[in-house]
Amino acid sequence: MVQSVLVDRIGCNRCLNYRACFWPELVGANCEHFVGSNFLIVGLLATGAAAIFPVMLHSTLAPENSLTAYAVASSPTTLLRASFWWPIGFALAVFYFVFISRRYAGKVSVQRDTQGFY
Amino acid sequence: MIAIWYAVVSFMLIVYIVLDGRNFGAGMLQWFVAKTPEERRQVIAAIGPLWTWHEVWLLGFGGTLIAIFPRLMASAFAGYYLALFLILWCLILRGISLEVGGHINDRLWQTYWDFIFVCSNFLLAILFGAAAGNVARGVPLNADGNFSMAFFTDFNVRGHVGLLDWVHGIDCDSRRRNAGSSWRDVSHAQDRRPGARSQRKTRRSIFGSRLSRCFS
Repeated sequence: MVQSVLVDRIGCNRCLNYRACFWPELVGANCEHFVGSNFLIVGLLATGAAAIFPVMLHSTLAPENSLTAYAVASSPTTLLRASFWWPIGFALAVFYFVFISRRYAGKVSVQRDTQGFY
Repeated sequence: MIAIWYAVVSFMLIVYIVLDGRNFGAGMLQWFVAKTPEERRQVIAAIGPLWTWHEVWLLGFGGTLIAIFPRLMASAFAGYYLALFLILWCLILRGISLEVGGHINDRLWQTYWDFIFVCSNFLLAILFGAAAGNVARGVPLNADGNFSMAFFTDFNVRGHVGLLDWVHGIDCDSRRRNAGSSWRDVSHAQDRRPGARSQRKTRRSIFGSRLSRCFS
């Protein structure tokens, strides 16, 4: 219920129209619960990550020893180069995401899996 | 710029946790929800074709972390060395059990790999949880950005803690003071005493009751 409300509140119902692309077997309430649960976990983790920024590793010995994102980051040149190769890697990962999701969409079938036999 | 890259790295880790968390759950529950070989096969079929796709995000996270925050990677990997190697072994064994577990139609072979599959998923969930907990709790980083932690000490949260020390209410220090300098000394000294076995059983039951009280 809470997750459904969360999904409605943040306007994700529009996104759910595209569910047939990734999870055709999930329709109606099942889909909303599934997506709502995922959004809940994502929201909790994202809030936690945002809350600890910029400290990435807290030191219990002395606060000044803590590793912050600014202190441990690579040089500006490396970051600039990464802004070129990272989108390419991300696009490949998303392509793989869509391909596998569509390839194995539907109900689970023992006959169709590729992990051998029992 | 740094904040954006921090968000990117966090995003990749979150996607991995959400996607592979489903595999951990399926693996841990395999013995509880699937009683027959066919049902176990069905659980594996639910995650079998997808687990490689999910681990792509872990690789992406690791690669991005190395490139963008190399000093963090160096400190964390050096400090969490044993835990990270255990995670690596669990990921390897999980992959092997998924891929080869059903290739030989022999009951012993399949049961063995099912056992490996369930145990590796349990261990992965515990180790990832402990790693996240230690990031939140903090680690003994020195001025050089290095730290060293035991994998576990006495599971107590007070004093010098290890990675897996998360249990409240266990007072092991008094036992150590009475019987020796470490757990090994305690156990060896008690093994030689008459009735040591029954005492060990009693101690285990006390430990279990305290553990359950901690989680209740």
